[in-house]
Amino acid sequence: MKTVKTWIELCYQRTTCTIIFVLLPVLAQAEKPLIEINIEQHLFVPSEITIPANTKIKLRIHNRDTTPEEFESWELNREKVIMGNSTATIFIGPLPPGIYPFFGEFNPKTALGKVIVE
Amino acid sequence: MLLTSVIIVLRETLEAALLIATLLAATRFTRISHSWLRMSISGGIVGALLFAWQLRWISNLYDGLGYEISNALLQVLIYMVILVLITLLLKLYLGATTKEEPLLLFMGLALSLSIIREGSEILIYLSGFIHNRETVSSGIIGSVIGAGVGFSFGALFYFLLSALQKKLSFMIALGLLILVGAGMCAQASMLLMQADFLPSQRPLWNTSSWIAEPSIPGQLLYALIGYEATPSPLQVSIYVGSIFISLVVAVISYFFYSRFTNTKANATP
Repeated sequence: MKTVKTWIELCYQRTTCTIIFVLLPVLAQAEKPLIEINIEQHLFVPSEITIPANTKIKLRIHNRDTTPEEFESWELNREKVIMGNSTATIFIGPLPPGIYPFFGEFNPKTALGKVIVE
Repeated sequence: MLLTSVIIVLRETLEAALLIATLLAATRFTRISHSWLRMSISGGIVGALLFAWQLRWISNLYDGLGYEISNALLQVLIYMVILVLITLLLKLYLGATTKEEPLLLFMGLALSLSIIREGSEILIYLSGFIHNRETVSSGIIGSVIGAGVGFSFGALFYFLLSALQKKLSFMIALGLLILVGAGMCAQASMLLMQADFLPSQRPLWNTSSWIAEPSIPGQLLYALIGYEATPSPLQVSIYVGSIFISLVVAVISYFFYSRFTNTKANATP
């Protein structure tokens, strides 16, 4: 009887663990704040975005140009090629407060922007 | 335009050029012909063309995270090929075999995979301005300069390694392959963080004030050993873990194949 009880307890613990480790990330994914940026004429619009500290953000970048662009940031450790007339998703954060510049590698003179974390 | 294309093409060719130099240095003890280079470079370029051509479709897979998944897969694949290469190199070096074909095949595979990843990015970049008459000439000149500088770094690195004793350059090349593989795994993990498959964490340290990633030394180290100025704890663990696995593979292969050499040495007299 005692073994059965421990076994049930173990099962219960495992289920709780499953809920925490499997379901929570899924729930968390659904709640992530979404921020949208456009690429127009090799410029980021808006070029500055402000996000809260220690929060994961879902960035949707719409490349409205016909030419490809590469979103790149040394500070955010992110890089992604975005084809012309298409949309890319990039997750950033959780980050400590600060200023994190990003740029378009294919047009680094014009495509400049920054993420301000407050 | 000129400078941008120099930088982009230089960054992308550096990794392949240094990989070629490392593989050539690792096989200095053999008498293999360099025809595998031609084959794998052309194979890599064909692969890069296909990858670049289909990238729009690939990117849209898995809710727009296909870019990260496909690139991470390519990098993990390169790491696995490097593990096989370590075994094959030691097998040949210790004289447990004289067959060079498997080594040539896997060296070619590693190089082709690396060219697919880096080359497709160059091709996509080129596709952006190829129709624009004003920028096309400076873009192409810049790309040629960038590729030239990248391969010069590779050649210089090869000659530096060639100046050493064959045994030493073999050891250094083997060590570098292990680090290149670990760099691939760390980069793959970063892409999976970008796609939110792995948790993002605060960086463990920040060495960007010593060696900034965009700088020439930063880029060389990035191509050579996967240098990262602000790695997260998970990335560092994956880097160290990959080195550990490679070392285990190297040590096991070493003892396994040196037994062959010993039996052969005992049998000959």
